[in-house]
Amino acid sequence: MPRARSEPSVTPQGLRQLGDEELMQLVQKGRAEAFELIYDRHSSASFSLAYRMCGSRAAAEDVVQEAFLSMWRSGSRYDRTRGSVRTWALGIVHNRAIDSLRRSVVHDRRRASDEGIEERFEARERTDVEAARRDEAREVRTLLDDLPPEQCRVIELAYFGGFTHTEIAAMLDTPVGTVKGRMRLGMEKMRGALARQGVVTP
Amino acid sequence: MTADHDDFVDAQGAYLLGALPQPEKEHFEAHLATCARCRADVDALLVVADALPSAAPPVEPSPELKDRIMQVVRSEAELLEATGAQADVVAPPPRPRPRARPGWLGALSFRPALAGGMAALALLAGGAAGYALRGSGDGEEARTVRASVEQGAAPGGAGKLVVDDGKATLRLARMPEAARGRVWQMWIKRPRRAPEPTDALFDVRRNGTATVAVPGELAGAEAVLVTSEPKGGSQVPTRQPVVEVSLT
Repeated sequence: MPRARSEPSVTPQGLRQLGDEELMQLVQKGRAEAFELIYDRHSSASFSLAYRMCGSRAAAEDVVQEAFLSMWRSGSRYDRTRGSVRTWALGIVHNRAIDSLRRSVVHDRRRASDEGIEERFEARERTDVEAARRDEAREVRTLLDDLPPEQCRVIELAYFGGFTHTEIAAMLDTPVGTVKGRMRLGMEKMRGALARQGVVTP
Repeated sequence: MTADHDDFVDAQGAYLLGALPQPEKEHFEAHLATCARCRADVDALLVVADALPSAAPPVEPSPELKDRIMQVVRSEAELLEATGAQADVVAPPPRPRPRARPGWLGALSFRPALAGGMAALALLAGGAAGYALRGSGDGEEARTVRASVEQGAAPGGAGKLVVDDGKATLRLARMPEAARGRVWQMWIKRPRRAPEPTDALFDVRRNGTATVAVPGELAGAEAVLVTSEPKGGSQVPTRQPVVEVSLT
């Protein structure tokens, strides 16, 4: 494809050496090659999240497509002072997946259950980065599993199931206040555990 | 600190997990704007919300997904480059069509407004609405239809629909951002039917431009519309159109 004539040319190799933040500056100028690298770097994590939430490849692909096209069209909304490109991307994917779940006529409760994911295509570990990511996934998974079950449950139903606290309260036959309290307590516990692992300052 | 604050503390987790229903979410955000303590709590818990996506088991998307996304991205990048700074320049004057074409561009004429709730649509300042046919330089025929932009909502706003090789792209300039919590959504209007929602939800670039591929079939359509909708889009327009491209 033709290259933007007004931009200094950056070779494909040169682009690959740029960080996400620099790439986003090129994306804001409409550079498709820069966006392709952003996609390559973050599509696996994005798809994994969307798949965990939607439970089917087709729905997850729709969510990821919507999210990445929205990132391409609104690259200017990315603000590096508010977090990494990855966090930004996953936030958009999460919002789009919630919208998609809430748009569906029947908000299927089974969808959010752990056994609801039948077809699971495990990602292959192609690089050290991916292996590290798998380790990270295991760690966060462990943190969740270490929570008291009732706290883990409400966090999963909310974050991965896309349910509101009112829906979760009805589902578990528990007062809304209790559900909200469990969410906050569970997240505080996880924060403490992340701090002990050195991920955040205590 | 107020009694108010205590009511909101327990909502912090639910807020970060995306589990607050409206209007509670709006109330919480309004409180957040005025309460430094809640902001500090939410900031502290943000790291947990940011870590949660990595708990999803790793699954690879299909290569076709990348192909589909990059196809749209490349075509929009090319259009952006091709029309770039001239996005808001009126297209060249019309010249006779080389051949009659059935379908939506067969008989272009400007229609001031669509029936059905659109009478309030103010037309493009200067009345420059019209159409032009021009060669795109590589032998393919491209068609351009000027958009009417509601000048109250988008002062100075302008736009055009470019159709090339059956693919239509809407290009807008001097467009404001959709209001907070909202997004621009494209609709396709067909005769005697309510506007059909499309999945073209978009924000404008920092320089006020937007380049958006029209999803779906335009044959038989009478207009392409853009409205401001809540994030995630709507099934039925909730606001008056700010952009209208009349195709009949």
